[in-house]
Amino acid sequence: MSVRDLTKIFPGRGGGHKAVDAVSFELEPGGALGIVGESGSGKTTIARMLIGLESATAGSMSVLGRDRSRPARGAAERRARARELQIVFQDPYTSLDPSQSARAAVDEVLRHHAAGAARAARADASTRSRSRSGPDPRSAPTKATGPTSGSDPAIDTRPDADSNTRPVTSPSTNADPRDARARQTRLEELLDQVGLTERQSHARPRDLSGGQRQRVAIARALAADPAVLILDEAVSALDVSIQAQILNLLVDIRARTGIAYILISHDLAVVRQLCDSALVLRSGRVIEQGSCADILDNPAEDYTRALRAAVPVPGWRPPQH
Amino acid sequence: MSADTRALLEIENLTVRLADPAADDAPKPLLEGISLSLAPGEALGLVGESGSGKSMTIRAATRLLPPRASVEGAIRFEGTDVTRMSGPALRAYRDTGVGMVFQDPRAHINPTRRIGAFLTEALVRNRGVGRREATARAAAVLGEVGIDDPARRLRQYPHELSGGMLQRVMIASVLLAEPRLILADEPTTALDVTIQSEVVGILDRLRRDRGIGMVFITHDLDLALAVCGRVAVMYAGRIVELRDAKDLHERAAHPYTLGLLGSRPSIDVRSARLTAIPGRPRGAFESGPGCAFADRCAHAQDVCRTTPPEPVRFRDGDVRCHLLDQIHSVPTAAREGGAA
Amino acid sequence: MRIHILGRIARARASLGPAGTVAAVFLLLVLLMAVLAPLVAPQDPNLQSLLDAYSGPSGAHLLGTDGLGRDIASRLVYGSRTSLLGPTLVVAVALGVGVPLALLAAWYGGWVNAVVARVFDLVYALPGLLLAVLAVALFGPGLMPAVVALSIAYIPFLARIVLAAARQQRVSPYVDALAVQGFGVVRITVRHILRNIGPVVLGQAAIAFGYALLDLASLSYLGLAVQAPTADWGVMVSDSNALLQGYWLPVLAPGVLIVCCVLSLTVLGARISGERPQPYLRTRRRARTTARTQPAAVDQNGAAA
Repeated sequence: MSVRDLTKIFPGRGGGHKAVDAVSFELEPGGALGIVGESGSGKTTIARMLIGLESATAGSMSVLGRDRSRPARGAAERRARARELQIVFQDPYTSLDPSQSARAAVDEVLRHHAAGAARAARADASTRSRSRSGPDPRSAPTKATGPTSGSDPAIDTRPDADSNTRPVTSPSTNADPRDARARQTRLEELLDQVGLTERQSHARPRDLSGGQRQRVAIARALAADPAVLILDEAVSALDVSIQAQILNLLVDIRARTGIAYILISHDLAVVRQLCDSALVLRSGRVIEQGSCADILDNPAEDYTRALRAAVPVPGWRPPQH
Repeated sequence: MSADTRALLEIENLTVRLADPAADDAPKPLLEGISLSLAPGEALGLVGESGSGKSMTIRAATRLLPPRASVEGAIRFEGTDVTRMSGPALRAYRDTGVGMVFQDPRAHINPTRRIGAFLTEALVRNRGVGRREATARAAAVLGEVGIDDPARRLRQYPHELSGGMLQRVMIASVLLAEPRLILADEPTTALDVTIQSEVVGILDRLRRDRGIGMVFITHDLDLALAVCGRVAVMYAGRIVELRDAKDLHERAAHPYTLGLLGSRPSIDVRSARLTAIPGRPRGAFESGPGCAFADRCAHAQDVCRTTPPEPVRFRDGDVRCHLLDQIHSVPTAAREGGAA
Repeated sequence: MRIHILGRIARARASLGPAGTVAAVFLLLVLLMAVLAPLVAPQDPNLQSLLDAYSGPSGAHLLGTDGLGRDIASRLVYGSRTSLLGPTLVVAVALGVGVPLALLAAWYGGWVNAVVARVFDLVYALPGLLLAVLAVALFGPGLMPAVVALSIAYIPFLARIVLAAARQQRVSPYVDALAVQGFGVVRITVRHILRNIGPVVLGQAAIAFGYALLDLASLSYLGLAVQAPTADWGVMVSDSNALLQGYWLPVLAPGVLIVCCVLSLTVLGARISGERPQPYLRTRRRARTTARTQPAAVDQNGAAA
């Protein structure tokens, strides 16, 4: 993922409000970048621009080489973008459709992308001349996980998935009963991966706790098999013990699938736990950027130092005035 | 009657139940057997996750419980039982005895009135202080909580102030009543971390300078340890561990406290895995006959599921656990080495 | 299977409350009566027998007869058909036009929302009955002109509530999450937003149905909608001759039916759209369900963590 000079100006008096000011960063496949900042730093606006819910005033962003600076045109492109980048929101109480069980929510996404893939495969079959062995950007994260590297882009990158049953492998899979079976397998696998029981997977969100809902949201995001997952304060609203469970889960998922994370958080400890690199935002500008350890252990900027110094740790005392 | 005459606030065996007229089952418990005491000028932390009853405890201490709640046990403020206070005594207690600081100051300050009016209202109406005098005092207190240009702030409306600024105004309004006790319910949870450190710094200084007792509620154990002298860890409506803040990190004994310590990621090192507690936090009404933590506890045995543990003295703290001797027979260093 | 159905009924009863259940059962009976009119009605509703005019209730005529000797019970049964058909059409048309417009406005917001909302406000200001009288003046009396006029008047009544509810859903993060998954506007609005506001729409539709029933009965009473020989509750109420002759049953019976229907629809509508008699009870019940579903969670999370 590559972001160049991303800028967002909200219209208003006096030339508007510059919420994000020329932010640039790179994220390698399988990497984990923390975007740190206090309220009003523009971190959520960046997330909304990345996922296309907000348009950028200037700058460019691309995932796996595909530009996403402009709004998606057509269903196929929307779907393709969805398979590149997904998001988990902060509030597990409003980020799920209240009338959908976990199972239904994940299955809906699987169907949606399977249908899109089948359509693409048909189109592909009709224009056989187009080679599939060209430089496939999605194979990059796959390499990180080993055994299935270099395979079809739509194939599950998880080593424990049975890649032969994936619908896209044969172009003539339309309405194939194997489709349904493969989807079912994948559904169980996703629910299992995020640690939801059979019973929870049938429950409506209102009967689930905050942590369980967040698991559902993660499963739904993973169902699109994205290369990058944005975690927008995804553990901030959870109880401490639940937060630890979800953090462990996220570490496991990354280790297992080679997915890349962008973690948006105000919590430096959470960023340290999950991320390799980090950037510190203040009033829409990048103050400091680099490896997570460097920034937290040897902050170069006063602001970063102040941020770090304000975190209560063992032995910390409140500042005296 | 009172065990400790020097205590500012003393809660003894407090149990709160909420009756449900619609259901025929027994009233559901919210708090069970809470005992704690607070000396003047002392800060006590109440730490716990959702449903642990930490907010309910201070609501009980100010008698702000729902009408269907039944209260057992004693809550004494300077030796007087709060649960038996008459109308005027209760009003006096709430007015000048105790002050409350909440998580969301915006919800507790009338948005249509100026800061000045908000701060001086109680002084003018309840204590007969002249308007000019009240304004002067308000300005002085605003200065004390670190707000520059108090005269201008007094003329502003709440929406013109940031959350951190408003929380300082909230604290100032509490100080104006010159209480002996401050109850702070997650006062910094909604604030940015740099603002949080300033606000707790202010609370800390006021406590020392004025000798105000403070009960500080938070879900952040490290924050509580930094601000308070002693910390009570709550779970499912009970205090499971109560000990000095300075040695809690080294000497914590209850499996839940240890779990909480292991759950928080560190800002200094990245651990491969956090030692997460399985399951989700419970409320008091959801717990079975035994120890409320039993179903999440790695050490739980039959006795834990049948008999509620009473607090015992362990490593200079009060801990509610049956298995302390067993769990801690292993040298602490080895166990923590394994967890890291 | 039987247990399953009984369970559903029990759940429906619990969520409707006693008054809602009575209303639902009553409306179901009226509906059955309308559908099965030929089987239920003791006689031909238009069969005249002048010799029997204004006879009181008897074995032959359960509710007696009217001035032309027609069986009142049978006329009530058949009358339910025309009386229910009108409001059905009104609500269907109002929903058919209003809901898509409201969803469109909620989704796109901005100027689309502003235009649609203003149009709704404008139409809302028009009195429905007056519009109907105008339509009758233009196209002549009959059910259809009245239905068309009332449909237009009822659009904002339904659509404004749909718009408000849909707007609330639109800003929910779950809608954002679906958009990020690449789902199209139509799918998100129909399969998710509309489904979640379904109870509100349905409840409001029930209430509108009651009002439409009343409005159409009034128009029929005035002779502007359903015309005389046809059996219709509104037309039957207008039989002032009977009253002059001292017979109240021919007028009272359809009147009572109208009132009961409108009342039932209002009660039912309020219940469906989520107005609960005792909110406290609800939270308690929900808390208990949560407690019941949790233990499994603990075991599993224990294994996963």
